Formats: sequence, structure tokens, C-alpha cells
Amino acid sequence: MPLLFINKLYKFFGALAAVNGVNIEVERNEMVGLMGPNGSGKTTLFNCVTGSYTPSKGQVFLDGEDITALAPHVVANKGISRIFQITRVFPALTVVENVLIGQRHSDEKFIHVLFTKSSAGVYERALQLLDLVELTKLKDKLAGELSHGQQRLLTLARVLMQNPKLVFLDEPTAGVNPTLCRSIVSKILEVNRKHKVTFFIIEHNMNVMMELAQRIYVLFNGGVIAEGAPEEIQRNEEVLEVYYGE
Amino acid sequence: MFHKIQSHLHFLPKNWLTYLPFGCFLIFSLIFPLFFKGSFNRNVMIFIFLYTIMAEGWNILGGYAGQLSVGHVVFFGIGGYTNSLLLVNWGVTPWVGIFLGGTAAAGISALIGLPCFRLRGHFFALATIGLAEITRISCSHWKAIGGAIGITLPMEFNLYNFLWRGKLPYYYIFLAFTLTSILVVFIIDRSRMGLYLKALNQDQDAAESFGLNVFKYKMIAIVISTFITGIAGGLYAQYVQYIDPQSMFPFMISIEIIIVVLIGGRGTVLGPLLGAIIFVPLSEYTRTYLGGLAKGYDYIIIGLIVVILAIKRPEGLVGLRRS
Repeated sequence: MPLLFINKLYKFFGALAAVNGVNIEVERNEMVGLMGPNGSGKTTLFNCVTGSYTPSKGQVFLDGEDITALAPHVVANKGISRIFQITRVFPALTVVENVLIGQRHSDEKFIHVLFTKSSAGVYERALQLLDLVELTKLKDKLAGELSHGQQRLLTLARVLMQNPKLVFLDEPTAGVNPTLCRSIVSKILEVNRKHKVTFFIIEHNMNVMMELAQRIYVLFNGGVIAEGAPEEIQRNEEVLEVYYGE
Repeated sequence: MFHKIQSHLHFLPKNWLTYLPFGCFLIFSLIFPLFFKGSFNRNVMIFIFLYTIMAEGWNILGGYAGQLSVGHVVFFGIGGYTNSLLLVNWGVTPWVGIFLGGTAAAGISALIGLPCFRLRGHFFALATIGLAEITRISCSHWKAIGGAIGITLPMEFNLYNFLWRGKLPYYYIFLAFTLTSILVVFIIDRSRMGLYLKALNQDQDAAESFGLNVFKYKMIAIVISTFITGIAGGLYAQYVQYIDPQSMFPFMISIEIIIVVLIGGRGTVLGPLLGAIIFVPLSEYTRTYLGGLAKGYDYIIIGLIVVILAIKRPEGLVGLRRS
């Protein structure tokens, strides 16, 4: 059974099919890429799976459980985390507080939430994750004061705090310099290998995609036009035509 | 034993400077009546307490959770009316009625929050303005609750009726409620609840993507916030001993609550207290000493303060300490 199974998913905005009958499977510990030109429906597909949009038709299964059209916080508590295309830290919270937001919420009791801070164990884990992304020294700084690249790393630590089964990465290296881009890529690979976290990645940078993804789906006009290993996708004529008009 | 107590109080800030302003305020408030025996000055202090309670209440919803309630006076009015009606019609002591007033305000606010918090944007702000006006007009025409004439509390001054001739008992009771409201916000600020409210205030979508039930936390925030505001309404009704729709539902109180929080610093424990300490005396003294010249001097000065703060210190006076 695949970890994520998207079955004939549609999302209509009026007459426009932004997601058009998409079938996708993601296996455990896999790194799967999602490519396509601007406006092909990649982010809309992510939004449908994570509950931000309600799909018009079709189903989404996580670990065999139907999660179609569940609220975003319910989907998150089922084990899907997300890093947005635009870096979204909580700027007026400290770096460590940002990571603590990612702690598991499904089993929190209201009385504890109201009267207590995060437990020492949870705090310790947040520090470990900050160590992983090399932000420990900045833990008490406001997240809004970090550079864009550091904020990108912070969002990675924050999603890992959730102990997710699957992480959706929407352009993880967008707008970061080449050095930091390398750092982010190596962190993602490290997390995948050491922590056995599955990733589903949107990325426009072909080099990054080739390095990260074991399998790639290509979307165009809301539908999947190609699926395969990175090398196959690079040679796929339909994909080349979509991208370069050849 | 000491370590056990300390482990349960780990959320308390270790920096004693955090407590300094509250300690100064407490000592000053406790000894104030010893030096100021006149009713005017005591009245000013009582209104500082009242506005602190209301502002701390609003602060939970508007400051921490970022949900702009522009008609918060409606919950103040509901609290005042509930308490007064219970006392006048059924003889329920205000010691209970004030809390029932807070509960009624919280219940009505939950009914408003249920549909509005599922929407994005400023629907909630618009709904609170609408509710405040509808309630004020309805109460003006509702004979069973006194209509436009209002309700006069029975002039039997005793502990059961929560009515006294002098201001001193009110002074210390209002002070106790003020300290309690500060304590409630302090606990929220230092707990996970405060962290989650601040997060949803800054980015609701991101907070939701991390598994936070944003709707639930907004509902909790509004219920606690309006409960406190409703209690303030009950206290006010007992203090003035007469209520009518014009005094319990004026739109300006909603604006004044927001101004108090903005002056002091929203999303902070100290901000509403600081704001009330500046706003109330300024308002009362300018009205008293300049009121003979023309109306509205207090609002001109307060407007200037708000404009200067918005430019120089948008996070409010609390920002001065941080900087």
C-alpha cells in the first residue's frame, strides 16, 4: 500500500480544471518530484491534498485512510506537513518558538495548553532539530530577523517537529543563494535517509530536482503528462515540448 | 519541596524586572486611597481599573489572536444588563450575577464566533459592529428590560446587593478584578495557548498547516475575552447603580478599549494596564479642566498620542521597555 495515493483528483474553478483527473502514488521513504510549467496546477494539487482546497472530485488516501477534504489541521495531525512556496515563519516569535509550534497537537489537552508551556522533552527535541539545521545559536532571535535562507531552514526544522509521515515541499530552494541551496538539499537528503521521512517536492531548479527526486511526475494543464525516473523525464519528448516548445 | 513547587511554576519569567511594573502598580493602588480621599481621584482610579479589565479582555482576542472586535461594548452591555436584571427581577446577588453576566456575554460571543470565525478577512469585525448597534437599538425599544429609560438598581446599600454609599469598597473590589484579569492574561501569555494565539495571529494558514485547530483557539479566545468584558459590564452597572442602552452600549467604548490597548501595546500583559493609566486620567482631567471650553479636547490629545505612537512606536509603550 502506498503512503500517499491520489485517485482521479479534480479541482474546478468555474469551467477551468486546475487539477484534472490526477493519479499519483508515493511510497514510504521515497523522494518524489512534481514538475510542470507555471499554472500547471502543482500548488493547487498540494492545496487539495493538504485540505486548503476541497477537491471537486476524487480521493486522497494517506496510509490507506481516506483524508479527502479534511480540514488542514486534521490533515497535518494525520502526518502530512507542508513547507510553502513563500517562506512563512512567524516573524514575531523566536526561532525556538517557531519550532515548538510544530509539536504534535492532536493529543493536547486544553487544560495543559492553557496552563503549561511545552514539556522539557518537547523543548529538547526542538533544540535538536535546530541543531540539525544549524540554527541553535539563533534560537532566541526573532524569526523575522533571520535571512531568507535561514528562514527556509527554520521551516524545515519546524515541519520535522511534527514527526510527519510525508512532507510537501513547495520550491524549497526558491530565492536562496547557491551555497545555501546546497545546504538545504543536503539537509533534505539527510532527513530522508536518517529520519526516514518521505518527501513530495515541487521544484523548478532541474539540478536540484535531479539530485533529490527518485521519481518525477510532470503536470501540464492540470493533468499528469509523464511519470518516471529523473533521467527518463529529462529525455521525455512531451515534457521537452511543454517546457521548450521543441 | 521547593524544587517541586519550582517545577510547577517553570512558566514564570525569571527576570524580576518583568514583575516590577505590576508590583509598583499594586503598591501604588493599595495605598492610593490613604492619600487621596476625594471622590474624584478615587473615581479616576476606579475607571483605570475598569478600562484595564476591559482592555485585558479585548487584548486576548484582538491582541493575541488578532481578531479585531470593533463592537466589544456589546459584551460589556450584556454583562451589565444580565447582572442588573437578575438583581432587580429575581434578587440574585451581584456576587453571582456579575459572573452570570460574563457567562451570558461569552455565550452570545460564541454564537457570533461560530459562523464568523469560519470566514476569512474582516467579517468578524463587521459582525461585531452590527451586533453592537442592533443590541443598542433593540434594548432601547425592549420594554421588559427597561427600554430607553433603563434600569435603576435598588438603593439598599449592603454587601448582598454589592452596593455601597462610598467609593472605597468599589475601589478595592475593582482592583481585585483588575489583578485577576491581568493574571489571566499573564497565564495565557506564558502558556502554549498564548504561543498558539500569537502564531495564528501572524499566519493563520501556516498555523493550520502545523495541525493547530485555528477555529478552536479563536473560539476559546473569544469566550475568555468576552467573559472578562461581561464581568466589567456587571461591575460598572453596580458602580453607577443605573444603566440604560446609551450608557451600556455606546460605540465609543469599543473604540476606547482598542485605543487603550494600542497605546500600551497589544498582545502584551502590561500594555492594557499602561494604556489605561494614560488614557483614563488624560480623558477625565481634560474633560474636567478643559470641558468648559469645548467638547472633545480629550480625543484631540489622545488622537495625537495614537498618531505619534503609530509612527514612532507601533508596538505601543511596551516597546519602549523592549528597545
